[in-house]
Amino acid sequence: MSARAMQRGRLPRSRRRGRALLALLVLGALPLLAQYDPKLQYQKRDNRFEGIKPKPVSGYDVELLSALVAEREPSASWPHTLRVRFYLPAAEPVFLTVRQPRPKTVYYWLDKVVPPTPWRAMAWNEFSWFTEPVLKQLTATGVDDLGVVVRLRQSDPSKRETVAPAALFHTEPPAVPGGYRFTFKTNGTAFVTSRIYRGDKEVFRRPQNQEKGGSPFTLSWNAQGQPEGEYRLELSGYFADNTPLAKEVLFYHRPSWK
Amino acid sequence: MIGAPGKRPPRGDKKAAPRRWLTLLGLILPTAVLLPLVLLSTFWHVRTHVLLELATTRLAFTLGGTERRELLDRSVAFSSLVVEKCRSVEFTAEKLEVADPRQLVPATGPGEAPHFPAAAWRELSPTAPLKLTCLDPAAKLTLTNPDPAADQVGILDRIHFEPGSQVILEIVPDLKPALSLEIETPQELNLHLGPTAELATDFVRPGDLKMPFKGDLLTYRAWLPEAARTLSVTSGEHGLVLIITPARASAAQLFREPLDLPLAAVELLEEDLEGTVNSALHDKATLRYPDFPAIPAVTIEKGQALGLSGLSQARLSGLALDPKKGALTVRFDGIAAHAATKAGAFAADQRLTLFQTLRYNGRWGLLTAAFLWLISTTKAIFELVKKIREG
Repeated sequence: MSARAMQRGRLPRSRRRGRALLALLVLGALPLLAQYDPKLQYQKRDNRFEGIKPKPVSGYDVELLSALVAEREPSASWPHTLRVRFYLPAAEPVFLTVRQPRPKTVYYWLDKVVPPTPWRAMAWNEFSWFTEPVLKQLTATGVDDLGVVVRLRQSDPSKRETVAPAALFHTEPPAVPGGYRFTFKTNGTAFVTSRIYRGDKEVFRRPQNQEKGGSPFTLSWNAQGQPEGEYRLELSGYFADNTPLAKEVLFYHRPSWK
Repeated sequence: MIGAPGKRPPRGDKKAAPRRWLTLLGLILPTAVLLPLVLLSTFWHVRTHVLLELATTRLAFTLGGTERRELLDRSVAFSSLVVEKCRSVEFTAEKLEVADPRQLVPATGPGEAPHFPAAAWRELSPTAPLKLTCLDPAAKLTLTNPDPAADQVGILDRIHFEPGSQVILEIVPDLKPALSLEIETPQELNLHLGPTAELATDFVRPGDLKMPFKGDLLTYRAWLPEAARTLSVTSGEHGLVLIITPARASAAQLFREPLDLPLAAVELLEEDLEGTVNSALHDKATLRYPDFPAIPAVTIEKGQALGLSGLSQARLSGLALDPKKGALTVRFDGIAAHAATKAGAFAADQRLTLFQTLRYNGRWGLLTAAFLWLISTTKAIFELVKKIREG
């Protein structure tokens, strides 16, 4: 269950019903969301929750929007099925989210997935879903507009989080996970330096750059030749008002798909 | 009058009883019909012409009408411009240099910017014109003036918006607030630049240029010939995103004046981290009823959510960037089929009721007075004629 769901879960049932009614009333007056078929709106579908939602408020200083294997399978249009594959290094709760890193007025969101079989530790895991119900109807969106975050241990974004970088594909996964792409956004203009460490050794650095609030930025790390194991991605810097910025993302690099 | 038992009542008495009932019915019927109607009209909300004045950090709207329209002033000078979702960027440079990313001197505090020492720059031999391609979905280009003291790097091109297309305006918080403008239709923009420009590129490929340094994030410094100080930006299929930091001279007049944009839909809501729909209002907003000036305006508090839909004849008549508040001040009006606000757990329909439209409508007031006058005069004449006949 995601943090959103858990937080909602803490509320009494009557209050939840009240909130739902109020949300419906206001959503009824939400014209740009109403342009879409109600069937496209975020709801439970088979083995997942999926659909479009209103644009989110930027609630976190720095947010990880996507952690993907660098290689992507080209696709001019929406394939019939999309698949996410990731390596789970230990038996831990898995929270998979597929989303648009730069939301428009509404944005695509998929989470609360129920895998066909329980996630397996120290193994590659896969989840697939049909694009027909939602994605194929979003004509202004393509596969490249999607980001994936597979959070481990906790569903919420936090200053220090653990993720499993995933491959997003439709027929064949990339031959080897040769590199990773991490996409973040800050909620205000900030100067950000990104580094990746194995233990205490720096293996990658993205020079300091000014990132505008809400504008996603990506760092791409070529991991070829790097040994298997846990790595730490560290973001440091400060916001325009001198508030320090810090974030750590732990991930496991598995050089082979086997 | 009732006749004696066993006798048939006189003919005149038989007629008198129903006549009394009719009189009673005549008295009760209008009240019985009108009272529920009046009560109903106080609950019956109708399509209402509303005028909204508000400050928001984010405004999304769909352009109405049938013609392409402009939103921004015709010559917006900018001190920095970020372009997302571009397809290619083309310009001619007399001299072009690229900086060694490893030699970047990071900024250490506010008011400072990271910079490259003189030794970090390496001259390139560009073909004219130089074409940068940004096919990667993460591609981004930032234009600034290499002189940190300079306030302006260039002037924006005129941007046309197609009818039916969605436009998203958002304030990017910073010491100098910037405006994020998302356009969903393809664009080709020609930006007029000054003699020098610095281009920070992220996932942008420099065409055939042989690069001395590796990295996705590279910074170029270009000297542009006087005859061709234009940088052409071609967007992707689904439009682009521009983050404009206006130069001081343009901050006060970023948008066209007078602005008269037809709107098909407007949205002022966001979703919080719990998934609840919330307000994007930055300050108190005012909702007026321009057709009924006597009805007091509604003040919508900052935390309240506001939803409008089923808009017709809507137009955006005022838009300005307020750098002090870090917000957009917006003025628009239109006839709304739905207008609702939500304050905490309470939702309210802000459309007028039928009763209000009748009560505050001058024409209806006059007609009602004339109708009442007609009824009372007719009744008086009827009674007078009746008395004359009886007497």
